[in-house]
Amino acid sequence: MEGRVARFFARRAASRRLRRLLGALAILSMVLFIAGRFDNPVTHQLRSLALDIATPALSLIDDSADWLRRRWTALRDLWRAHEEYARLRARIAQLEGSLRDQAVLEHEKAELERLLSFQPLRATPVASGRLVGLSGGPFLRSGFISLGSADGIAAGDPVVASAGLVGRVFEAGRHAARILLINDINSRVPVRVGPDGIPAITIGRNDEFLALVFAPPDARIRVGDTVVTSGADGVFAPDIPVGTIAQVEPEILVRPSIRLSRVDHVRILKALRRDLFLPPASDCSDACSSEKGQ
Amino acid sequence: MNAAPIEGVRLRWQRTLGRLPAWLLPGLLGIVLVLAGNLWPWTAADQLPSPHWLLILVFHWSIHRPQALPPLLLAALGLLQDLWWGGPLGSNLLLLLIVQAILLDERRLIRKFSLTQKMIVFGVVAFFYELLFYLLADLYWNPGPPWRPFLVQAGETLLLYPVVVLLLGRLERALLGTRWKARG
Repeated sequence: MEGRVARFFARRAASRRLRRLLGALAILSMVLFIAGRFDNPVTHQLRSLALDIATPALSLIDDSADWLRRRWTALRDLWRAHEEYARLRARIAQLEGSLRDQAVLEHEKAELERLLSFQPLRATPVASGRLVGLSGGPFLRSGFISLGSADGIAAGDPVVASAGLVGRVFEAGRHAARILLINDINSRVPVRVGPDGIPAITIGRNDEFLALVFAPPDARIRVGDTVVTSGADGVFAPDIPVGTIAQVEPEILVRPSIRLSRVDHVRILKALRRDLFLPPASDCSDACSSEKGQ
Repeated sequence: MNAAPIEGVRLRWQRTLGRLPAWLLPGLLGIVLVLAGNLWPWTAADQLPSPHWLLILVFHWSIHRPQALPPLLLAALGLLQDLWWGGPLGSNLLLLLIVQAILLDERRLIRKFSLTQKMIVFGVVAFFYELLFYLLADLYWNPGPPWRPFLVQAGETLLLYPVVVLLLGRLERALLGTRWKARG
């Protein structure tokens, strides 16, 4: 009987301890929530640290997957080598023609720029790396790269792939960074549309399309028009491909030129104006020192 | 020279090493599942969010092996999930603790359910979890993100629940044998 009573009280005490612990942790979560809401430097550092920890693990898994992917591609290519050879020869002949035309156009453009004393805005590449993972959360479309402030990357820097704009650096840890993808709802990119260069802004929708807004009401936008960055925000250099117009009614939608499922290597360009994105003072380590050095 | 104390130390070490998988597995598995949330197959990544793997683990272990997931470990995993998903800090931490607190109270009842009944309960839990998750995100960003991905995530998580539970059971048996199960 005594033993049963003792066990009963021990269980109650343990339950009380557990409840107290759960309560304390719930309070901690609320403190973190509020601190995160008000853009606290400590939460910035915490997120950067988590990035630095997670990205090597993701990179390792991705490397293994990449090894398998490459072996599979090599086998498949071997199987199709003959017809691929014929296709590539035809393509080379076609591209050589285009290259000649392009050289003439480049020469004309350079000549005109010289005559007008035109100073073009050109993006400076900072580093290249691999996209090692995509965040699976329901609210943020973001990816991870295994490059950080130690490689000269800073928050706000544009990220491009061979096909076009991928997004911009959102948080930079020391050896890893998070990219806000262009289809995230927080993403805004000033663009020019079609041959007339109609100014507008693309907004992410958290799906495979981007919404095109703030185009002049009388603008003639057609399906298939190309969309490129305008550089008006001082972040993205002009003329980086963003996508093509996929739909004009009832709302204008843009299909991005990159398919995230196919993006592997990315290039980080220096934001035209990095000072727009400088982190809070206490978080300002490598990015700021490299800025000051320039 | 007396060999008994040396033998005792050896036995104690053997026992400690034997318990290592039981201590390490929950944390390691939790971290792997949180990482898996960032390795959702890339073909689907630009359209679908990943399932909430950690919620499945918390639901399953809160019912069957509550000792495997102490609140401090759960809080750490929730915080990691928040940090790696890039969402409101503390939201997963808080919601997972609430789920565990409720399930610990009801676990004796739910334990007796069949897999289909457990799936129904899990579906309700996942739906309310995502609803609260969405409300917290809405409060954090104001206006919040679209609600559809949250619903999709709840659906995906529910669909994958039986598969993950089956794999978890196999993993537990393979790595820990029946001794750990008996303690649960």
